[in-house]
Amino acid sequence: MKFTVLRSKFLEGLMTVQNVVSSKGSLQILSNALIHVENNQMMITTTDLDISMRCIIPCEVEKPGTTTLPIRRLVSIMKELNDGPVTVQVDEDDAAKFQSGSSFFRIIGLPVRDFPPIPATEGKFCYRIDQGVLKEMLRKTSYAASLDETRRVLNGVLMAFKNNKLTMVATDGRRLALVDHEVEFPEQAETEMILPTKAVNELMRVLLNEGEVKIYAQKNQVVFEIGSTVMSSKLVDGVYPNYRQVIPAGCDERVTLEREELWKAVRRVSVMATDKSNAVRLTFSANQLTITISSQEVGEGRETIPVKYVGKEISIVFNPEYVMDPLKNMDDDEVYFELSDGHSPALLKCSVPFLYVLMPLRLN
Amino acid sequence: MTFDETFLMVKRAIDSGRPAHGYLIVGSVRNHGMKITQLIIQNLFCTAAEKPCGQCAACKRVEEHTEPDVHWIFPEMKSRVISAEQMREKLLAEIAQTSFSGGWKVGVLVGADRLNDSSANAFLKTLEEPPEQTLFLLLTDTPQQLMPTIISRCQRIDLDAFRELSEPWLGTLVSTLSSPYFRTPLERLVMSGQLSKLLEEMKEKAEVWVKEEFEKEKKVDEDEDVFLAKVSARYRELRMDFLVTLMRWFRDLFVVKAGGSEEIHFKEKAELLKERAGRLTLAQTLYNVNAIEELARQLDRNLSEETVLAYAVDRIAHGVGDKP
Repeated sequence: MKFTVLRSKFLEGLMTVQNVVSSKGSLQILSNALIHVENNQMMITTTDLDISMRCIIPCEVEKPGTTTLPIRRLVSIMKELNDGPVTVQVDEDDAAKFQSGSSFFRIIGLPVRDFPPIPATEGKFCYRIDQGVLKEMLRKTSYAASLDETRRVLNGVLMAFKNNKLTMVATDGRRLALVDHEVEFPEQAETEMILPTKAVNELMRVLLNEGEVKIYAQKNQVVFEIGSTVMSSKLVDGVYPNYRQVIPAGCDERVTLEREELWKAVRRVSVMATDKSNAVRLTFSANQLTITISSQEVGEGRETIPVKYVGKEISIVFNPEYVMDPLKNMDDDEVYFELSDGHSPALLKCSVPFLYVLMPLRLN
Repeated sequence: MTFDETFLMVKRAIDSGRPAHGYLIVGSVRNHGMKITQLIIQNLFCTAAEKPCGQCAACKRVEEHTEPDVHWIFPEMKSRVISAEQMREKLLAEIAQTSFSGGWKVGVLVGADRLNDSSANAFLKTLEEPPEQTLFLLLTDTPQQLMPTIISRCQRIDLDAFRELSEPWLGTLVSTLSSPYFRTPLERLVMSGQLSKLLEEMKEKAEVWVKEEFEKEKKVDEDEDVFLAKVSARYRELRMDFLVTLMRWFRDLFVVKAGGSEEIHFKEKAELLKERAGRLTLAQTLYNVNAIEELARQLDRNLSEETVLAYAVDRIAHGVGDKP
């Protein structure tokens, strides 16, 4: 095979897919990218067997063909080369010769037949959603996903296409983040899938702020088509717990708070947190919120925020990280804290369809 | 039951869509155990009409251990254990996700007896309730070292009957056992010395084999401890074959004494066995079988091989006549 490609385009393509190479080290072929040229297009594919990534870039094809080449080495070469066209010629033993200006490189590839067959994209139905919206939804939920390896179904974000809405949920059993967005699709296309954390992070990296993303749900994988880039990922195999059950139906009190003010206040007092006592106490009293943290060995910290509040005095204890996580991933100026008493779950909401359930800590 | 029949039995269960969650394959990890494991997996992934064909790309991938949905776990490090970390990262995490190509997912534990308490416990829940289209194959030659909770969750496939000590050791062992020099304590000591020598040879051979493997795979980064651990693991496999042969001999004596003759393993030695059984009581022949089991346990406990062998040979009733 033989083709000519612009260095900048080639590098751009390689950078898009290069994150998805295997760290497992068991299969050498997985550190290579599958490169296929035909009809003046180059398709670059990488996979680590969990996630596969493919992108298409324009090139001038003299002789079509397919090969696999070590991607890290390719990226290093392309980064060093001067800007301009690169002519690539690959022989039958998968050795590739790169010629660009005065530079010449020869890289040894691996045979194509060793590359794992990438499962085809054949979704019955395609959901369409704005890239920026999807990215925002992932940002607002993904931090709440569990890292506990014994609870595998929680190691990801639930994507539920139901009732003409895409609902995203993540929880680790102590807090839960949920966000909704209206999407149009026929009733028979209703489905649920759990996207593994690794895929969530990769997806957030490739999503742009504008344009559309097409989502194809299959039995064993999900495919995201973002312009000329296609990412497919395995799913978490299991049924997501009934998360609706943990969302409190109604709370007695509702307080409006300045998001940034609350975040900064919690962040400041959490300086006093220790491994042993990582708990912040929020006391809502007449027109005042007091945030305190104290431990016998270290000392204490206190912040007072004026709020509009006339209800009963409520004192509730949380893990400070769990309070800050949603606050730093939101954009609204105002957030609403809903709570009933010191030992029932509290709710954090904002003006958009977002909801965060927070379980209080019990201190003796 | 022949090897092929054993495989067909499992194949029928798979083809009818009702395989067990896990199979405990008891037999030589290198030989028949590995063979049936490969056949079972190929049967799941093969693309030909007659499964498994062994020829298609999928069958080849299974054989080369490159099929993305088959996860192989081998004992690692110098302690040759399957650690909980290894189980979680390389097996359970994979099984918790959907398969790469949309079909079956298989987890293979080569040397399942090398699971320790924590790794076995980490595995239990998934083994009991695996996701759909998931199959676990646990290979071992010492099933008695597995936790009962693991064993009870698997269907057992016994391949020990196909185990055979390789030549020239088999010939030497059988001729030693058929020798008439088991009468006096001194003769018995000489005979146990011969058996020890056999084990010594196996140990040397194991080292040669592992060295060859290391050179072939160009494993330069592995240290001396790992090498020794691998030699020891390889030697234990050979020793297991040796023990199985010993057991067959004394089992034959017991069977002959009890009146059976069709079912004996060493048919060519039927006359000799009959003659010896004639000089023994049924209780003695049964005692012998127990003594070999005891020997196997003692060898596992890292006692001096020479001493335990001498002790076993000495207390076994060989049924040798007065005159040679």
